[in-house]
Amino acid sequence: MTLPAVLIDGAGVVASGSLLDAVLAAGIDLPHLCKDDNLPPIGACRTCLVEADGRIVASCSVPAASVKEVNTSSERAIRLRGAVLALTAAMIAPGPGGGGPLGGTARATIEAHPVAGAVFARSTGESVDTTNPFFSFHEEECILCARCVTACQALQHISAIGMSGRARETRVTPGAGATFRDSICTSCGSCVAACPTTALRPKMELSP
Amino acid sequence: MLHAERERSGWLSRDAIVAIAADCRIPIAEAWEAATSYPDFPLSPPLPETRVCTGLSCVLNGAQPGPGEVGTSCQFRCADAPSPGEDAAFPELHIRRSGPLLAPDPVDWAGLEHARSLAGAEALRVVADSGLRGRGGAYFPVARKWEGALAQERPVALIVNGEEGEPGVFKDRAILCRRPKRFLEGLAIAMHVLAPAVTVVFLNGEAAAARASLEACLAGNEGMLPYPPLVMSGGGGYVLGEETTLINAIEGRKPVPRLRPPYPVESGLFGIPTVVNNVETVTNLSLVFRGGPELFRETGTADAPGTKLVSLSGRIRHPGLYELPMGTPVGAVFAAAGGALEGEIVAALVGGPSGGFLPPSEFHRPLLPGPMHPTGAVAGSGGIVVLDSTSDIRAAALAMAAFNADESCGKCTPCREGSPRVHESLAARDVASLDELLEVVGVASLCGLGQMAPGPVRSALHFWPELFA
Amino acid sequence: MNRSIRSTCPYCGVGCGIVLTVDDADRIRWVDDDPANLSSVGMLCVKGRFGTTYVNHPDRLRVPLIRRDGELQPASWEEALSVVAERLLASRGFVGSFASAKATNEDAFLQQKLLRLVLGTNNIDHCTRLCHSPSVEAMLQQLGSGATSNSYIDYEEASCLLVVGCDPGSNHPVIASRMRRAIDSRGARLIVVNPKRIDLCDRAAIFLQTRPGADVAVFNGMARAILDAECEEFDFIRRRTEGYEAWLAAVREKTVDEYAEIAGVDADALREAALLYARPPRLDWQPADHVPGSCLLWGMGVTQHTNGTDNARALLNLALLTGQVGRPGCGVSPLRGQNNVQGCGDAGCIPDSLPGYQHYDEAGIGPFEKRWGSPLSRVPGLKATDMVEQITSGAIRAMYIVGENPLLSEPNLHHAEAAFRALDFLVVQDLFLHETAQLADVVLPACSFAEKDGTFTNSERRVQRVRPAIVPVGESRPDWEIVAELGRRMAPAVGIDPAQFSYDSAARVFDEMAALWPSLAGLSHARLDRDGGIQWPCPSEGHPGTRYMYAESFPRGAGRFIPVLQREFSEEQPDAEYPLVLNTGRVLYHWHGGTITRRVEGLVERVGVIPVAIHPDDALASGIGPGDPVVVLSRRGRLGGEALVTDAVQPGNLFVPFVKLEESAANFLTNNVYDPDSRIPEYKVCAVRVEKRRMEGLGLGGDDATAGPPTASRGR
Repeated sequence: MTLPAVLIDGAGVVASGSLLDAVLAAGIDLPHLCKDDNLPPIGACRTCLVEADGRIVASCSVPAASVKEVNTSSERAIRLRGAVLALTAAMIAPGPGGGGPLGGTARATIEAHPVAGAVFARSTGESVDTTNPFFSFHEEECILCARCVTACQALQHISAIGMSGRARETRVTPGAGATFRDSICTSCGSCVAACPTTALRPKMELSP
Repeated sequence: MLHAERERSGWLSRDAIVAIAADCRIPIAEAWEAATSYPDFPLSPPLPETRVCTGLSCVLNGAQPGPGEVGTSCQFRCADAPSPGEDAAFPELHIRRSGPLLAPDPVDWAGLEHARSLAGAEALRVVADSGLRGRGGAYFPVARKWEGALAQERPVALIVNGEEGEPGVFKDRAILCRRPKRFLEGLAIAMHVLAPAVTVVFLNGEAAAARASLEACLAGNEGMLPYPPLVMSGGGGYVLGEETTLINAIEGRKPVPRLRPPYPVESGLFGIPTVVNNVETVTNLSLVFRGGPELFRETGTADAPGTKLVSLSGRIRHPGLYELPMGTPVGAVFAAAGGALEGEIVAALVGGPSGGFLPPSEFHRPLLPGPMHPTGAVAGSGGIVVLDSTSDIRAAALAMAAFNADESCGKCTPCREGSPRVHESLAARDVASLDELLEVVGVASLCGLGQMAPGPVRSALHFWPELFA
Repeated sequence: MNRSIRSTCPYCGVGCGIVLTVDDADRIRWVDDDPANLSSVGMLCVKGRFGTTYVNHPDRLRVPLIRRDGELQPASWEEALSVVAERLLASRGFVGSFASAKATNEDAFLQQKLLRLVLGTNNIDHCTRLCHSPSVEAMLQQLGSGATSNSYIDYEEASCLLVVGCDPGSNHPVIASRMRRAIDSRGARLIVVNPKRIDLCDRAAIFLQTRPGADVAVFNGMARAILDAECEEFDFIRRRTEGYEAWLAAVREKTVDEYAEIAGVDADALREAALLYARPPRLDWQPADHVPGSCLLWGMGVTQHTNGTDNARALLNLALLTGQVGRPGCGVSPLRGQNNVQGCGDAGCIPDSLPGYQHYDEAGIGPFEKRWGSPLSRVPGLKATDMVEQITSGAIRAMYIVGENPLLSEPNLHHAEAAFRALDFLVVQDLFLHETAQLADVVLPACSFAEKDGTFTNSERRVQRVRPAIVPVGESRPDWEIVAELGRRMAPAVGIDPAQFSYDSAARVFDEMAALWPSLAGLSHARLDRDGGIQWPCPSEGHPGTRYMYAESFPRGAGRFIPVLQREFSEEQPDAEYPLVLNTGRVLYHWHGGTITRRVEGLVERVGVIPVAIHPDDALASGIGPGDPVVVLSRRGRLGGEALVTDAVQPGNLFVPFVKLEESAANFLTNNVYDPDSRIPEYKVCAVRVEKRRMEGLGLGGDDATAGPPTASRGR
């Protein structure tokens, strides 16, 4: 029995999982920011754009088996990914490296991909929450990819944090606008592990 | 519960939301993220000011909050423009042109009786034969949607979308206020065919009069439906017009869209196959079953039979609701409505913030499903706002850009970040960066709100470039 | 260049997969979850994620210590091992040993081999004695095997979850997350039975807030309700159980209403819970051929009583009555606490059975005697709590304690301390110089999980690899290597071939264990390296491991009903002088007694003072407000903490976690009375009173720990 296949950049790939899964399985380093191995697809960052059967789609949100032919590096796909990354880059304040295990991912992704021209900066907010002894939250680095909230709600089912507000008022918020300390956060750290920027970063060194 | 609290004290305090979360046994963060996502729920005590509507149609007609007054978003009383910032029942006199749908409410239940005389599959075929398409803006064939849900062979949910959050559109309020019995007959027919395990009628949170009228009609006609539907009021938000966002809202979650697939007919409300139909769509079922599919097809076009309720407002002499056959050219509406208030009609916004502007040279285009003009205009839910010689086209375009930016649900980067920059660039006359911004917003956004947001700006730039340079 | 090492978390019995990131200065930089791990499915909790700083804490023991002139002084390994070998041999016949539920299977296996083969005794035990010994006891008697019958995935596939006497949110956080997923996303119904309200109650369909010590009444009551409603599984009972008639007669002695009265719960709620457990609903996602199942999970609330074994029996009777074993989505789960308490028992650190729970009869002990080349004692050894009690009688004169701190974990700590001081010889092998080590004659520095090679077995019987990430701290050595060295030194003196204690690697130790227990025969380090963690029974190389047991039969043949009657709620009842009942348990941020977590800064910051949970009525009556410093007293000792006024506890009950903070610990108050069968102490009930504490300090053994206001804390 042959498994369904999808043609990605000219090569046949087993069509299992999402189109992004198939693209990554084919060894193509397609940029993506809100995909997380522990979470269902979120579809918020819109970075994983490819041209599939003539349309531009976010590959994380499309089943691989529903598409026949994919071009990950068409002129249009590259241009639009660059435009999205420009909007994303504008949300990250220049700051220190480090952060959680994936803390450098967003920056690295932006640096590795041709990004559209300068877009004026905008930050989600300026609050810095250091009330939790294990990690701190720096809003000015947040790109609202929602991995942290999804990890808290849909993986750990704790729901200490949510995405409050709408449009440009959207922010990652513990409780009803509480600090991490005052919320029901159990410091499980799934949010820190998932964060692709330095917005959520460990506070302490594990070794002296 | 959020509504009750707002009724009681005028706003939603943090403590109130926390208490409601405890009562509902949901985590505080989930209650908070939902409550803070609705524009109609004030999170601080309201000031004792008079509210004045500053939607596009009202602003075109001179609305401007004075001292002691505060501007509100569109209150959907566009035919009354400039109107107070409060809801009121839709007046009969604003029904300007009736067709079969807006004819006075029937006195009998002939349509329902006919539907009931047919088995589910037969009745479904009647719907298919009529060619009825949805009237919420997407024009998806109704029978095909129903078949998609029924094919899952699981219990089905029916959601009637009465959110009607598009400025300039007031047809569903009109139906619920003035023709509730016809709507009820349509709903009864839908419930007969789909046999849903759950039925929800979701109304705009501000549409108090429509809700009262609907509830009175439901109470007075209890036996006609297999069970009373759950009537829910939202908290506003243009994005609630999108199916999956509406489903999230009903579930008590943050009102943002879901990824598709899975589509609602496969997995929707609480994971069961869900049909979302617009109020006008459901009301049309009454016509289909009363007169039969062939009669229904005698109006409109072969591909899009039936009529469309056009909500006409702005600088037009006779604003209000016009029932016109699908395929009617845009310009024909204006003639029927008495023409411009002053001078000439210079532009029309067709399809609201998700549509586009058309100049008179394009008024021959017919109101049909799909794009009416490559730059943006669409028939959509039938909202048309007229601009005349006194109107500021540039301001109108900016207003639509601002609207889309403010109504972004915030989930995805292109719409959340791109739409406000579209507005800023437009305002700053920075046309060079606009093309790319419009493209990324239109192509890369997660849902229809973002995908259609470029329309008004792109069409305005196309037809009146000199205004924006 | 950073390295990634896949290992297993050292904290609780969930056994989460972890990935350690180590830099080239040999420092642990980050602990990440492992999406591929089937037990933890990409999750961790605060302790696993952020709590490994203890590995490099300055308090780590780096060199052996020998007591000279009353003081512990640094010594060489040569000297220290020499002293230990000599002194243990000198006390041969009067030696007792505690193995560590936190050390690896290999460590545990060798330790029991030393005791049995060289010291000729079965006086080896571990902390399960204090924890799930009643469960293991009852399960062995009624089913024939002492482990969780199902897997964690079955919690997610259950239609009903019955959670009794435990607080997974605090102690098995990742299992709690999986249960929340089952409830939120899949529609499972939760029943909680507990005297204290726990976080999971927010999602409970039914919460039975019971009287402490009344569990037999609760479960007999549920059984009676099931019988009244004729919802028992006739076919299962007939084909697969025995002893039903006798049990039936016992249960029928009371009505549901009477049982409810004794248990302190509403009779209708009891009925509802029973029927929900017996006939769980079909959920949307379940295919037509799936029989809806109920999972029964329990913890210390069931076991740590003088009637602990009876409580466990009552639970198992319920599972047999309803046939809720042997299929996906159902089962019986004693939630094991420590990361390797399951493995430690599997490896034979139990006084009345050999590795693999094999018996001292010819069939059981024969293979061991053959492999080890010597006859072995067939006299069951002393249980841990009895070892302590027997120090004063002289039956125990020397003890070898590995990775355990009895002077924090035994009940009635003043009594325990007196006992330990009376030993002729005490050798302690551990990471830190804790309370027990401070009394030792020799202290041996051991490696943490991050420095050694081996395996842990978690609560779902999954044997998982532990891999060294950093070099041993100071001169510390892996426990199994220390024991092997001792074995080689001591063997000749008793006519045993020292080669019995020569192993090239931990993998060879595992191989020996696998050769002696058929359930492990299909496993080896190499197989685990290749295939990831695998659940025993795994009888052969090609066998995939076992997700759930009892599909066809029980190891003892038929499942056995054992009639149980509700006895006294507890040995010590409240009276005029000590009118409240003290319940003990845990808190998320601290691990057990706190030996490890008190050395993690962030955890102490979260919870730095013992939170004493008190009902508002009792608080009012004693003039105590939220956050007030309080002292709790029993006949045996006192404890200082901070009042947490909450209606999560019932009037008349207090609750404290048993972690030691600021020199106060619950076990100074608890009662050294034991369940007759398992000898588990009654940690969960003793009589106390509570008073507002003056600020000058506690007057505990001379330590004025608090000179000022207590540290602001938020105990959860």
